[in-house]
Amino acid sequence: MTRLTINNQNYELPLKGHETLLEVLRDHLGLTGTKTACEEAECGACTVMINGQAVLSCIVLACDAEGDQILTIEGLSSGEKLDPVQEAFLEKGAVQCGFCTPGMIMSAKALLDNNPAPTDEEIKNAIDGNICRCAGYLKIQEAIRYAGELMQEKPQGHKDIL
Amino acid sequence: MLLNPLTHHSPVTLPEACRIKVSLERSEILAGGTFLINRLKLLKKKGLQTPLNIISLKKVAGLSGIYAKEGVVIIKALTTIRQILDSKLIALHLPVLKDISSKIGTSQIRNMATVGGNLTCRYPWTEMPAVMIALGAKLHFSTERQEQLVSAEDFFKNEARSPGILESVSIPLVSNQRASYVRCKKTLHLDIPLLAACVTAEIKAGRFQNTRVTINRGTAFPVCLEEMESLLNGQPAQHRVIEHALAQMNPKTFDASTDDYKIHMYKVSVRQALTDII
Amino acid sequence: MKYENKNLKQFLNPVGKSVPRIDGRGLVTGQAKFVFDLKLSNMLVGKMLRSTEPHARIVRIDTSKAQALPGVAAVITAKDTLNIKFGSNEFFFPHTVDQMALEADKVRYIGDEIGAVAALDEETAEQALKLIEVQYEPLPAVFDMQEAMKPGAPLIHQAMNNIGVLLPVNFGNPDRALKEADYVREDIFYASSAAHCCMETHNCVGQWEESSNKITLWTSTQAPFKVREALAKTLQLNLNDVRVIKLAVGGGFGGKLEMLPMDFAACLLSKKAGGRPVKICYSREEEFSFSRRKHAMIYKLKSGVKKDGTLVAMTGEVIADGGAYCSYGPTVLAAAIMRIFMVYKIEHFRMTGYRIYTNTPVSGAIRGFGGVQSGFAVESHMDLLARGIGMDPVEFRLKNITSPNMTTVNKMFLLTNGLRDCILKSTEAAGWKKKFGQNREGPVPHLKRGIGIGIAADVMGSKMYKSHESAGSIVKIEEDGSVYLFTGAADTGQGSNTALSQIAAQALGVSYGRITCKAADTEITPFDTGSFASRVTFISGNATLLAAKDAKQQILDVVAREHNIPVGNLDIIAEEIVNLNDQRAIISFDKAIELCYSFNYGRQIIGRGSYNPKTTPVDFRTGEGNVSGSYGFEAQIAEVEVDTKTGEVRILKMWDAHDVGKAINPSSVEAQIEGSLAMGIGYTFYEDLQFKNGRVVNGNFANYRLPRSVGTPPIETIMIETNDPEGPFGAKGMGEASLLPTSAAIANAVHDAIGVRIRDLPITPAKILQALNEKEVKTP
Repeated sequence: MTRLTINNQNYELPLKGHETLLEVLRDHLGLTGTKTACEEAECGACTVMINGQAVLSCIVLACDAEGDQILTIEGLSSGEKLDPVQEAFLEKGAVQCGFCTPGMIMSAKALLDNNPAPTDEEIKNAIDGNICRCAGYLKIQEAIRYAGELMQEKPQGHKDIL
Repeated sequence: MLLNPLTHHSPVTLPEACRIKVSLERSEILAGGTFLINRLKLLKKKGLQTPLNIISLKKVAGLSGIYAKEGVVIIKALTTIRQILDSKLIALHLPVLKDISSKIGTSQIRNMATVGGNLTCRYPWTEMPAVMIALGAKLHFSTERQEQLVSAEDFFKNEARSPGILESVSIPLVSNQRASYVRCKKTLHLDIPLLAACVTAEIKAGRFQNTRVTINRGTAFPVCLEEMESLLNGQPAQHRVIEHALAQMNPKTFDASTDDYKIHMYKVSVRQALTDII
Repeated sequence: MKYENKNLKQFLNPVGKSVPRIDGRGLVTGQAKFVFDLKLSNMLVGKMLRSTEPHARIVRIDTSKAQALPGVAAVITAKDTLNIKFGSNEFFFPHTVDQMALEADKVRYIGDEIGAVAALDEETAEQALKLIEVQYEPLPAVFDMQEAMKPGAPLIHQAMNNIGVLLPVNFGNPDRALKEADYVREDIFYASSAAHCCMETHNCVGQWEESSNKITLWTSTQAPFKVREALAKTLQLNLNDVRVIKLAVGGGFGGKLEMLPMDFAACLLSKKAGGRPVKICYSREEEFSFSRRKHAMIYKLKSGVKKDGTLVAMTGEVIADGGAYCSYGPTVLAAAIMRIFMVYKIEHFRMTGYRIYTNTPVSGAIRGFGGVQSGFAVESHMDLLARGIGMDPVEFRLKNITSPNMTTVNKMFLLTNGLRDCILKSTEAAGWKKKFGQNREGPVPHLKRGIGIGIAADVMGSKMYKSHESAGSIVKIEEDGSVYLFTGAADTGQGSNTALSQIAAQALGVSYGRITCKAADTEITPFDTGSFASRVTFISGNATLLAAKDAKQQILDVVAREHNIPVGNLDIIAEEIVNLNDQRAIISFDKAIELCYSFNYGRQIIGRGSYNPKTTPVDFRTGEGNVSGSYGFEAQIAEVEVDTKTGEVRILKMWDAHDVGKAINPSSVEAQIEGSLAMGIGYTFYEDLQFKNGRVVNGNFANYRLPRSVGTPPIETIMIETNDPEGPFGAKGMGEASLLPTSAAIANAVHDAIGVRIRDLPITPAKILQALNEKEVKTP
C-alpha cells in the first residue's frame, strides 16, 4: 500500500508501479477536476501542485509522490468559498470552455503562493506550459494579476461573486 | 493505461541505487521524469519493449543542491532546472546557465526536470549538454564500486553512455570567462531549438583565449568546432575576426543538414554567440 | 415561498454588462462535468477499427478472434449496420451525403472507420482491434488536390475529376470590366490545412435501453440536434428515440459539428453489449488524424482597378482539399467565396470553387469555415492592388467597402454595417498614418517594423443544412420567482448560456442571478440547429428574447386583471411591475409570481420563443442568396517587427475593431476576439497540419505547435455598436469574424516592414529569409 496525501487528506492505495498520478487522481479517486488534453506533457491541463510547485501529473509516477503534499483543483475551494485565483478567473472572464482552467489555475496558484506580485513576464512564464485554445491568454494573465492583488488584500481572500 | 506494467524501486542511497541498477534487467533510472515517462508512453504506443524496472532517485539523500568549492561550482544531479534558475550562486558565477535554464521546456517542466536527466537522457536536443561542454564541466558518476569522472566533452563524444549513475556536475570557475548561448527556434514561440550555439572564451588583452564553440544541431549530440576555436584563439576580439573565422571555416562544417534555413542559421547563431561575448 | 438570493439585485439589466459566466463556478472548481469525466456503472471502453490503407476495397473482415477474446463485450462492422449514409449539408446538397458510419465496401483514407469493439478495459479493446483480420484490395490513391483533379486520377467517389462540390459564381461582365481597368494583377495564394485542437478531444458515451429501444448519447458536441438527426437516420429510429446530451464541452471550433462514426459506434456497441454504456475517447493523436481538419486551399485571384482605386472586377478560382468525405464541404466553399460580397462593393465577378476529394483525412468546418483561407488570399490581394496603383491600403479599402442599407450583387441585404467605422477607429487607434510605409526600424537596424490591415465580414447563421434554421427557447418561472431558461443552443465555451441568460433576464426585467440555464439536451430543451456560423447570440438570442417576452406577457396579464389596469400600461422594470402611465411600482416581481400561482389564477408561467431568420439559401447555380439575418464586420491591424537576420516575425500589437451590433457581454466579446487572434496568429506562423502519403505526420502538440502565453501580443479591442434592429437588443454574432483577416493583416504588415510578400501559409522564418534573398537578387 502506498500512502498519498492529496488535498490534506491521506489515502492508502494499492498502487501499481506504472500508474501515473493523473490516472490515480481521475480513475481511482474520481478527482476529475484534473484534466489532460495530450497525455504527453505538452498541454498542462493535468497540472497539480506537489510541495508547492506546479507539476504535470501525467508524467509523475504515483508511487514517486509518496510523502509529498499533493494539491489538486478540488483542494482549492471549500463549499461555496473559492480560492482568490478561482475568484479572479471568474471575475475577469478568464474562463471559456474551462477544460484548461483547472491546470491553468494550479499553475497560477503555484506562482502566486511564492510571489503574489509577479511581473507580466513572470506571469507569462508561469503559464507557458498551459495551452488554452479558447481565450488567448490575455484575460488569464489579467486574472492572475488580479488574484495576486486579492491575495495581498485579504489573505483569507474569499468573496462571493455569483 | 499510459504505461506498461513495471516495478517501481525507491532506493535511499546511491550505492543501493547502483546495486539495483546492475542487478535488474531492463531497468532505467528515473530522475525528474520529464523525458523518461514520456518516452515510456511512446514505446508502449509503438508496441516496443519497455523497461520492467524503474529506479527512482527521488528518495536518495544528498542528490540535490548547488554549491561552490575551491574554484568549481558543483551541481548535484537531481537539482531541478527551477533551482538553477533561482540560484543566486549560478546567477553570480554562471549567468549563461541561468539564461538557458529560463529557456528549457515549460514552467512545469522546469520544476520537474533535473540537470542530471537533461545530461544523461540521451536525447540529442536537450539544452544543457552544449553549455556544459563549452564550460568545461566534469560529470561525476557513481558505480557500485567506484566513482568515475568524465569531462562533458568526452561524455558526449562517447554518445552519452553513462558508466553509472550521475551524482553531480562540477564546473570550473574561470576568471575573465565570457559565455553566450544562442538558440534558434523552429517557431517563434516556445519550442525545442532547431539548433543552438554556445561560446565561451576568455578575453585577455583584447584577444580570444581558450575559446570553445559548441554546436547542438538538434539531430546528434553537441560537438565543438575546433577549427573555429583555433582560428579565433590569440586573435583580437573583433567583429572582423569573427567574420574572417566564419569565412575560413570549412563550408562542410555548416553543411550538415538538408534544410537551407538551418544551414543559414548555423552561421547566424555562431556569429551571434561570438558577437555577444565581445 | 420566497426566492432567496443575496445577489438578487446585483445584476439587474445585465445586457451590456460583463457579468460572470453562469457556469463559471463549476469550471473554476473543476466540478463541471465533461463527457471526458463521465463514468457510468458497468461502462465499457470502445475503440474504433480504422483502415490502414489510404484507398482500398474491403475484401473481408474477420472478427472471430476478437470476439473470442475474454473481456470483449461487442464487436461491430458494417454488417451490423443498415448501411445508411449521412452528411452535413443533406437538405440542399443530397449528392454530398457520402459517408457511412462504418464503411462496408471501400476505405478512402488511412483512418476510415470500418468497425469498433467494446471491452472491459482499454488494453483489452486495443488487443481486440489487433485480432481483427482485415483483407484489403489496395486501389491507387491520390493525396494531392491538383493531382486528384486531373483526368485519369483514381476516383474516390462517383464524382467526375473528384470534384465533390462545384460552385460557380458569376455576376456582371468581368472580362469586359478587366479590359477597362487601369491596373490588373493576378496572384496565387496557398492556405495550409490546420487542426481545431480543442482541449477536450472527441468523447462520447452511448447507451441503448433495450426495453424501449431508445438510445442516449452523451457527446462532446456543438450541435446535439444535428447529431440526433444523423443517429436517428443511420439507426432508423424516431427523433424522440434518440436523446443526445451535451455536458460541458472543452471547445469545438467547428470540429464538433457533426456526428462522427464514434457516436454511432458507441450506441450500436451498447446495443450489442446488452445495454451496457460504452465510452469512446479520442486520444490526441486520433483527434489530429481522424476527426476533421481545415481545408487547405489554393486561391487564384485576378482583379482590376481604376487609377482612383475603384475595384472594377474580380475573377478567380478556389481549389479546396476536401479529403475523403464531404462533411461541410458546400458550406466551406460558399464561405470561401461569398464573404467577398459582404466586404467589397463589386459588380463584375467570376469565381469558381472546386472542392476536391483526396485520400486524406476529412476536411470540414473550422472556425470561419472557408473564410480564414479566403481572408488571407483576398486581403493580401487587396493590399497588392492598392500598392500597384500607389494608394494607401486603408484608403483603397474605404473606397471599395460595402455600406449600410445595401443589397449586394448576390442579393445579400446588409442593413446595419459598421465596416467604415471599424476601419476608421482601428487605424486611428493604431496610428496608421504615422506608421504605414515609413521603412521603420526597431531598436537595432536589422529589425524592421511594419503595419498591415485586413478587413472582414461574417454571417450569423447560414441556411445551408436545413430548410429552416430556427432556434427555440423556453422561459419557465417557478413558484418562488426563480427562472429556468431552456435552450437548445450548445455552449462549448463561448459563453452562450451566459449571454442567453442575460437576454432572458433583461427581457423579463429581472436580475441575471435568478436564471438557471439548461441547455442542449435534445429530450428536454427546444430544437436548435447548433453552435456554428456565429449564429447563437443572434438566432438563439432572438428565440430567448421572444420566450422571455412571452413569459412576461403572461405575468402582466395576471397583474392587469388583478389590478384592473390595461395590460398595455404594464411592464416589468427592475423586478417591479410598473404602471407606465405614472411610472409607479404596483407590486414586486416576486409578488406577481405569487399571484400567478395563487389558487385564483393557478397560472404556470411558461414562455416560449421560436425564431427563424428571414434568409434565403445560397443558390449554388448562381451564388445568390441572403444567407444571414444580419451581417457583422471588422477591421484588424497588425504591427510587426521582422528580424532580417533570422527571419523571425514578432507581433508588437494588434488592434481589432468589430461591429458586434451590441455587446451583450463585453468581456465575452473581448475574449472571443482575443481567442480568435491567438488562433489566427498560430495559423499564420506555425499551425500547419502535414501529411505524408495521406497520413498526418505531426499529430501531437510536440510537433504541431500552438500559441502559448509567451509570445501572445497585446490586443486592443474596439467594439462598434450598430444596434441591429434584427438582433436581440441590437446584438450580432461575432465568434468567427476576428479570425478571418488575421493572417492577411500580418502578411501585409510583413510586406510593409521588409518589402516582400509571403503568399503561402504558414509564414515561417525560412520563407521570410528566402524572400529577402530573392529580393536582393532582383534589386542589386
